[in-house]
Amino acid sequence: MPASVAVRGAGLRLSEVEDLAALARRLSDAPAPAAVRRFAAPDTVLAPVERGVYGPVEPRLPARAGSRGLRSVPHESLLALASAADTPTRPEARTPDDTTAVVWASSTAGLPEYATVCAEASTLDPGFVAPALGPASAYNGPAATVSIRLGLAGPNLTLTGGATAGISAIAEAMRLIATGDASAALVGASATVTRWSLTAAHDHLTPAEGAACLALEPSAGPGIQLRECQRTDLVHATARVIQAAARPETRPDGLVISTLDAGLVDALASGQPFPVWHVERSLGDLGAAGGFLAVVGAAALCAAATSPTKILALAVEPCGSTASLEVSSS
Amino acid sequence: MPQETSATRLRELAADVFDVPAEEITDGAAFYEDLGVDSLQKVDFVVRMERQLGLKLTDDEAAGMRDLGGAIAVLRSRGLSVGP
Amino acid sequence: MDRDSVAVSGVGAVSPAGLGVHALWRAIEDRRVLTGPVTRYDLSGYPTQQAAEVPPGAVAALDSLVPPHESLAARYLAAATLEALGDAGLPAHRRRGRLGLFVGTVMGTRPLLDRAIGRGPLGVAERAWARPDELLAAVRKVVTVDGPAVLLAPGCSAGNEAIAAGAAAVASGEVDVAVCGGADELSLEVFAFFTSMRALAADAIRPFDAGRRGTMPGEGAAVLVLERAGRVTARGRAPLAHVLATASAADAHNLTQPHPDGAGLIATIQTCLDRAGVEPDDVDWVCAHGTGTPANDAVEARAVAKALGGRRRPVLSSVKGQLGHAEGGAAALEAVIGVRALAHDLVPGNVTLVDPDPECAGVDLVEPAGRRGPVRRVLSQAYGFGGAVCTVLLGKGTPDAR
Repeated sequence: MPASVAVRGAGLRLSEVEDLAALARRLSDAPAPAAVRRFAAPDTVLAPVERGVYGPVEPRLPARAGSRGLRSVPHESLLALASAADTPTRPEARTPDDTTAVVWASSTAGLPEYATVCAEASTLDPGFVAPALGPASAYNGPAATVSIRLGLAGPNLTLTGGATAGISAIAEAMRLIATGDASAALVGASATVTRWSLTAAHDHLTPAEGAACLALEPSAGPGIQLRECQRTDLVHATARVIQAAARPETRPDGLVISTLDAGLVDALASGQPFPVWHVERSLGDLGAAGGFLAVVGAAALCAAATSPTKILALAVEPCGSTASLEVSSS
Repeated sequence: MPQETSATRLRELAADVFDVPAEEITDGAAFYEDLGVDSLQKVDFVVRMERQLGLKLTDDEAAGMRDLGGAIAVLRSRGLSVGP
Repeated sequence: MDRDSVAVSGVGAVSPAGLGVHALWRAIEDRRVLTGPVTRYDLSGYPTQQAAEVPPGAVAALDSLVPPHESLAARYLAAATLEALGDAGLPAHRRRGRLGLFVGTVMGTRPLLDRAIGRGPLGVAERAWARPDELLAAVRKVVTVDGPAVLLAPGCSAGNEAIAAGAAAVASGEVDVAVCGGADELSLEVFAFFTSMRALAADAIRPFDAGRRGTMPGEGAAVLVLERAGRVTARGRAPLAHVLATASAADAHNLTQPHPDGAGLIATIQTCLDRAGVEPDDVDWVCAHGTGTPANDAVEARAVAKALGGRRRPVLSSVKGQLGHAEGGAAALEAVIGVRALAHDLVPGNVTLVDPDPECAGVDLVEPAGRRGPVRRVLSQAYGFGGAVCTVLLGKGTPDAR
């Protein structure tokens, strides 16, 4: 992994959060009310449910993403594409010899498509399942859609799992840049809410949908930098926070945490000389994208600050896996 | 199970699956070469047509559908009535 | 041998040959074709009903090896991980340095939903199908993970991407031990989709054959334990193989069709050679992606011929004729077979090949019997829907033979 990468730009598709400045405010504001929507899964035994969620989020595709051939692209891939197409990249990113990578994290991509194929296989004759749903039913729809639609010939990687996947996506992008497999990277994460995803939703959190993307480059210099990615267990991660906080020269100006466990946030925040923000409290449960939004949120807070700022982004999963990253501005 | 269809219905289906305007889908416009359709879209068109008509095509019949005219010819050879 | 080079110290597998790497390698040596009628699902009414399943006896035998979990793929992965750590002489818990998990998959726990497919509305029982991290749940119960736990799902290149990510984590010192692999279980969803695509072979998968008609799903898990070579020899053990290089790219072309020139594949092969400092003729076996579909194999053979243009034609075969296409497990199973090929100096044959496709004449297709002879380096490539390509170059474990 290189010592650090620079953030060139960001693209967001989040419920009622237009840009980084709005994201920084949202993290500090009281949680917004969630709109109640009805979710159904036709041709299954799942009863419709009503649930307050953050969303829906409209893709609002920029012209760069093109318009033809998008009719059968899943909603989550459209959100991913829209956020990626809105992310400022280097001018050379679209030249044939460039190897800008696409690295994406999602817990939900392809889930409604997989389930719909199963519902069709249950009710239709063999061979009548809609073929177009098949390739869309894996996890890699967003990365593939971004890579193909934006013509990026670098590596194309997808991570899934819980919140740490969102930070691991950045770690793997930094690895691809360090090895020379990629000249730069578009790294992003996304989530959608469907009747299917709600079967695994956590009662105490507001399910949310959306996408976010960062353009990362190897160059150091002014602007926002990402460095010191650590992927370890909760004991080591907690030690990192406590040790960093103990000395003024290493002390961060804040901590952004993605976790399902509000009690853990309170425990880590208690007695700290810096503010602690909780992604899921402000933005809802976005699965793997929550970890990624801890980094984007930290970048937004750095960008909103008037002096050089250093913020730690941390993702913690219920199993104890963690990933953390230092976000700083100069 | 409908045993009849029309060229207009098939054209609308193709336009929907291929995401191209219906007027571009002439009888002789080749799906791959002229309309820029990929193999997944082509198979998607065939399966949706099979679902609409409630019939199963053989692999050779499916492969033979290279344009709308070809698709209509295959359906007629299976005894379907295809109107304008 | 550089003591900092990345070594393979242990391997494990669950495959249609049953439990363990020994069973897998025996099936390869004995040229057994492991595809056959599917027993796990009722496929009556489907025009073709064949796949490569982990045999029911092997599935039952998992009970004595790994904790219960609804997901078969999660249990395959746990069993392969325990075997590989044992093979490496490493304890599953503590006192073995920081351990990271790098696992590739295509469908993860989603096939749990397939079991609800019947006549009428889809029944929905288990919930783990909506939680991708559940794929690692069984491993976590038997192995302490204090480093990264990374689940990679880039399409069918997943197993190689896991090896690439794990090898980099070992090389950078992020972890001492990288458990790298891939896992998928037979998915009725995938079977239904391939049925609609008319992409399934009826009798056998015949990679690179003029009469190839399609592929068949497979399943299983395979794991490679990676460490720095110096750590392995310090334990008094010899590395089984080395990861000489990995490379990733993408075609940015089409969701389901390979790039007509195999541009991404060519780039990854050339990058692997450059990074390892070896010539095309130094590659003794190209373990092909070789899915047996008309669209894939000719493109792949041409791309390999172009990327490995040396004095001899590249020696190439696909094991998918024997094992089916295990999706996320495929590249990891192929890497384990590559490790065994290096150790036994045997290039596995194209077991189901009858009539070599003249369009594949640019490569030296291995006859069904396989070939005995020095195997010093194995190149294994993987790619799939979505355009991601990842290639891994493996070398022998013993220094004098490299």
